[in-house]
Amino acid sequence: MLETLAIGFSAFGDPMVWFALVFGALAGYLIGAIPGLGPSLGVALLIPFTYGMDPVVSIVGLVALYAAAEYGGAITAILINSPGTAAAVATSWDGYPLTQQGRTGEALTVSILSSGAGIFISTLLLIITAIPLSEFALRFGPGEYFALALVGLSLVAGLAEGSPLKGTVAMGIGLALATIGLDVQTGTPRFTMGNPEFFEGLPLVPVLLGLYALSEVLFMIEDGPSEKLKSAPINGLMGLPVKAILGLKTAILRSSVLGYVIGVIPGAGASIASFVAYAVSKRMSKTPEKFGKGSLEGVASSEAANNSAVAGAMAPLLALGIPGSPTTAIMIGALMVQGIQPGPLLFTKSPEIPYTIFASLWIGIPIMVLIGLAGAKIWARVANIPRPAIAAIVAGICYVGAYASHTTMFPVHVMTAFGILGYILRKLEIPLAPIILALVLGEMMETNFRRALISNKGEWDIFYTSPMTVILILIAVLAFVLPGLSQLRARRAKASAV
Amino acid sequence: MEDYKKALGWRLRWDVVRGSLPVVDLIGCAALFVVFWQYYSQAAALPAPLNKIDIGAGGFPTLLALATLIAIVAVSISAIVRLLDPVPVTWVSVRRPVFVLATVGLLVLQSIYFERLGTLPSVLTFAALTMLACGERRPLHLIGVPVALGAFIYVVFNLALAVNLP
Repeated sequence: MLETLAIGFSAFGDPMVWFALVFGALAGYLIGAIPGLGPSLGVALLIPFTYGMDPVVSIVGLVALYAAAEYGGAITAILINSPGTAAAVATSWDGYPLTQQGRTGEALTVSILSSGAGIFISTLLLIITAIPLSEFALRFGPGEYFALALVGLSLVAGLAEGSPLKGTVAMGIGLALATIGLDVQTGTPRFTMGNPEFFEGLPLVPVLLGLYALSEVLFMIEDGPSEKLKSAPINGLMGLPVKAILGLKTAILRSSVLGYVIGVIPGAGASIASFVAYAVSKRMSKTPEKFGKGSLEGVASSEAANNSAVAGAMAPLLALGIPGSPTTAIMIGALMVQGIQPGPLLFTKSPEIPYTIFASLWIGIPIMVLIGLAGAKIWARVANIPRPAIAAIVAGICYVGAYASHTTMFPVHVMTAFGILGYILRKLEIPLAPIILALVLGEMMETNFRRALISNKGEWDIFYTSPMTVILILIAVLAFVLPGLSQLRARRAKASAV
Repeated sequence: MEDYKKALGWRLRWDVVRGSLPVVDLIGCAALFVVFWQYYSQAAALPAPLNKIDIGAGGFPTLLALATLIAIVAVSISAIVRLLDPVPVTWVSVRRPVFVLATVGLLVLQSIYFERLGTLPSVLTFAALTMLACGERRPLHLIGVPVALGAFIYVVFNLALAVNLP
């Protein structure tokens, strides 16, 4: 394993890889610090800049952006009580009270160091688990692969914000979009409306740009010009005694492991990880009464967990080709642009990709900590960039990025259509994550579904005779049913209270 | 409870359009039902498989359409239940609807004229118009941001990445 890991570290002999790492980290901090823009939008916007780049360089930039954006959200959460990302909400519960007490520097130091520790521990867990998982997945047949994709989609649909039913509809929309184009096995044109430009299917990057970035522009228009947020002065940065930091080690370790495990579950993601880790730390803390009033343990738990979830989400992506979060689903799009197919064969066919990701997560830690601490004052000001300017910049990059993907107007039209559709769907509270995941996994799912049937001479029992397939399909069903039942129970409780 | 619903109520004002989520859900479901019914019809009309053990090009989309239609009906039923039960409904609102609609128009226009106008004129014009729609009124910002964005795009895409932009 150490030899193969060296492949990843050797990629850093190229100065372009270092440039991508620093650029990605800076862009991630910038995106994360602006409330409303998250890592998904950031990664989608960065893809157009990776056209024509070496795959290793582009993936390092994207991973650095993803990790830094998760942290960037914490800075504004601490300084101005305005979390840049959903995953930083739990950080603001204790981070902002610390700022009000004049302990901004302590809060920022703890959050940055906990984030770094979270990434370090979770990357170690990623290396330990992803490789055996990919080796195990090599034994999967088409039936198991179909069921696995179904599990991924059902978890994302079931855990999506809003109702699991709407998550299911979103999944249906995504899978239907994935069937547009020539049928892979027979070459029959499907749902192309007679337009040859649809024969290759919907271009993934413009769809991602439209759904995640352009739709956000319309939300910014709704919000109108933003009010200036006043940031507190930053004092005492790195002034925290080492003993106080060491006192947080148990909370950081526990939250990192929790964050990783939750990150692995498709659909759970960094925000759930930070909430769960915060709640667990509060329950196990010697001073639970301090939580919510300025507890360093609270900040450390939330930040270690949400950053740890980044590496967690990478595990199913790299080992199984199943993205664990919307951001990793978008990253699959970036890999596909480079002609790379994530999955169990990635470790044997293109080992430089997963091992460079592992290496970049580790090498990125000191860079991220340095950028975070040195630029804290700048990141705090980023939240005050006028919203109209952000809207214009995002829209401009979307149009140029979509055009550059194929240098034709077709992707521009697709991106615009999906931007408007994304806005309408979000208004209807239909989650976008299952659509993206289904769009990415759709072809693989259908191909394996048909292969499984053909390999079993057209008999459907292949889906209920293999123990592994049965277990996976059962998990998929439970992923739909359980969140639905708990929602129904909560609604009944509300109704009886009324 | 009726008072609560009336207090929030439907709104159709120039600064906000608001409706109850279950009703909006029903409208959305009706639209999705039509789309997926069309999808189902087209999937069912795809050529039958040549190989008897395969489900053909239309097999998977047909199954998918049926499953999604069932889910759409389930969402509609849940919307009706939410309308009837005493729990307060959630409201969906679109603030500054005139500007949102104007921006949708701008986006469509930009997608039509992007190539004809050329990248830089298109970015400069539409960036300024988007900022105006978002409420920016300071002349320096309205000029400075599009120019900076245009320069950034030119340097990165044209010079650094050598992308052939119109």
